Amino acid sequence: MKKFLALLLTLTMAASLAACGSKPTQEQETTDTQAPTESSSGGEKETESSGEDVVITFCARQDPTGADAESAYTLEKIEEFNAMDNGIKVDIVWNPVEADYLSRLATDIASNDCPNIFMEYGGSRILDYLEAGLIVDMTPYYEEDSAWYDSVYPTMWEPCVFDDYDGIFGIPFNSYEIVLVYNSAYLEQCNLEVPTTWEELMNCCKVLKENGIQPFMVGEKDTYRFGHLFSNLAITSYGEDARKMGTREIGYDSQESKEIYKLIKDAYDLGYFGDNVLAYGHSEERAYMGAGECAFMWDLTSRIYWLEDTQELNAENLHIAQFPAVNKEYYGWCQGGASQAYYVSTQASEEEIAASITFLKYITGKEFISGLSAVTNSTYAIAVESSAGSYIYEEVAEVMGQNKGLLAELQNYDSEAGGLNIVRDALQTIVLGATPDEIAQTIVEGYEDIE
Amino acid sequence: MTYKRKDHLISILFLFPALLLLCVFIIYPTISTIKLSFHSWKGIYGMAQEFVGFSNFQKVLTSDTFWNAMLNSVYFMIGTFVILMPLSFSLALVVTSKLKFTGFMKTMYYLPVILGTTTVALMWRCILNPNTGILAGILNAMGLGDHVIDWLNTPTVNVWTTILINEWKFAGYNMLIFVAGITSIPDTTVEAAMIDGCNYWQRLRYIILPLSKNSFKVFAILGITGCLKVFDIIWAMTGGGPNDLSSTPGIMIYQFAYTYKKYGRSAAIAVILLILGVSLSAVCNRVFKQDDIY
Repeated sequence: MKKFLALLLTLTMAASLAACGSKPTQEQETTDTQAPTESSSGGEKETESSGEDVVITFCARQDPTGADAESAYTLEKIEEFNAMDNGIKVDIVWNPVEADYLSRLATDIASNDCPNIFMEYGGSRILDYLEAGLIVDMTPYYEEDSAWYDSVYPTMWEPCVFDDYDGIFGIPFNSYEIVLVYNSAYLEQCNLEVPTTWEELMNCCKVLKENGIQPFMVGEKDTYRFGHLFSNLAITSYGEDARKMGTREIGYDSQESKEIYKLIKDAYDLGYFGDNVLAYGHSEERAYMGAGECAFMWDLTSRIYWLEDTQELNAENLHIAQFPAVNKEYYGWCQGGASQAYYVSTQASEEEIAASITFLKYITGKEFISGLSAVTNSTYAIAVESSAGSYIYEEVAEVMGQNKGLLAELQNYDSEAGGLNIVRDALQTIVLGATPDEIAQTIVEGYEDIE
Repeated sequence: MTYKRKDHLISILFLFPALLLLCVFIIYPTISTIKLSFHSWKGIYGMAQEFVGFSNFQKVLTSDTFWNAMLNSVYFMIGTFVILMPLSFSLALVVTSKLKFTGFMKTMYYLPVILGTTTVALMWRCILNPNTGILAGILNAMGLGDHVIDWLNTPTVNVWTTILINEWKFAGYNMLIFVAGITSIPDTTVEAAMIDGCNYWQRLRYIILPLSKNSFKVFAILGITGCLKVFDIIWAMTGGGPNDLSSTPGIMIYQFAYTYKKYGRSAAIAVILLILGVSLSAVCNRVFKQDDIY
């Protein structure tokens, strides 16, 4: 009996371990071979056609339960795609939380389980993947289907093209610009004009504050709030040269950078950005804006729909303007471009790559984007007829149409993947009373830590 | 086959699954991590790992952020020994006493343990929100509005706030460790002391505490290693911020790997923690060595 029990336990254990490392399914099998060393189709792996559906994995920062309009619409369309009987089946690997999404993607890529299509933001992480030959150069596909290529706004390709690599790696998806959202009722109440310069904005804040109206309520718990502000202030101070801050040709301890820290710090110290700003995030900030708790916020045009059905938007008090320029010469410049792009992995068979391209064409096609735009009112890198449901989307389109220059969040130009976090985190110290010199030192030391 | 040999074979068969699991899930990953700590790697499969010697360790050990994170871990240890240990032991004394409703008390004390860390963190974040939280509301209502601060974003205060919440959550769990120790003391020993005229405090000082030494050892080892690798509660409460000021080595491991793509550096921190954990556990074993008095 003892022997029998021992054997049974051993077999159970062995079976459970074997299950952990079970024979891969068709799609895994094709990916679990030697890693490619080229970023073109030369690095692709080959599998025999099985006559069964090609299964591809689609990794995106969306909600798999379809809790928001974009996820629900995309899920519905994927179901339609899977029902087309075109020999392709799409599996989703979605997570709506940015940090969790990026961690999951990083883990998959580290463990040779790279999804066939994945969403990323461009920048240094993509450069690393290019160095590893992980991303398909889509130039041949665009040459074959120029209408697909032409459907993307020309200014949106930045996340997919890189100086040191020939080719177009991916397709941009979302587009955005940072704009100023303002409450016209408060401005009228205080006889103020819509500010076009930072100086005018600060003057508006002063007058509003004197009249008991809180100018901003910045949700700096999300560190990108000051991060975006830093980039916009730099871009509207130096125009195209602001890119050099991102590449660190102009250092974070330079006078130019310190002047930007000072602008933020001065506004914060005067109470224009609100109290306890680290205690709440961007979504609460939008809620405050929508409820009329403050007069201004800077926001991404792709997320203006968050203000829908709020008291102030329904009262038509909320409006959109260009981000006020520090230097008048750069009025109309701002942070923006394509915020998300889709990339196709080379760690797949030719069949899977072909299937991925087919699916990408589907989810970046005009029909898909028109439908998506109608349900989300967001902005996309693919040109479609706007189906604006509210006056504010017309204002968004008008402001975006007047844009004179766009740069990504500056740290995206850095070859160091951690730069974005270091700068954003250091800017939080403004709330803790750090001086521009201390912020500069924090950033420089942060870089030293990770290099 | 002799009876003894058969017995050995059966023992090996019984041990085999556990050994296999140990090798697959503990020994192999540990060796891999140690190997990785001497390399530079961006976390992309197929990309070569470059040997860098002790460079990762040198960079970690000369980083202010790492030492600040270690200091926060030390704060957690102080909290564990100064707050959690007396609290858990006191709760254990209460639930092993002859008071009424000890079963109900045990359940109540254990309740926070079964709550998920994220749930606890969300709950406390709501309570502690300086703008909308109930604590700020109570202080404001009492006319103590000046004492409302942003508890989770003020440096050092946020670490200690999290430590207190952590102790609240784990008091019940550690209570059980002490309960196990206290209930294992033979009744005859306690009764003999009572017959000899020992009062409650004397029994506590000379019988219960010395004979619970093993429980203290278990508590100390779990506490120290837990504090060294603490991640979830602080991550959920403060995210390590602002500007990494409430970070811990556990958070650094995560950030270096997933945010900065420095897997070698991340592994080096993990190895340092491993060495510290093993060393401190050995020290605890020695300090709390219990003589066999039965």
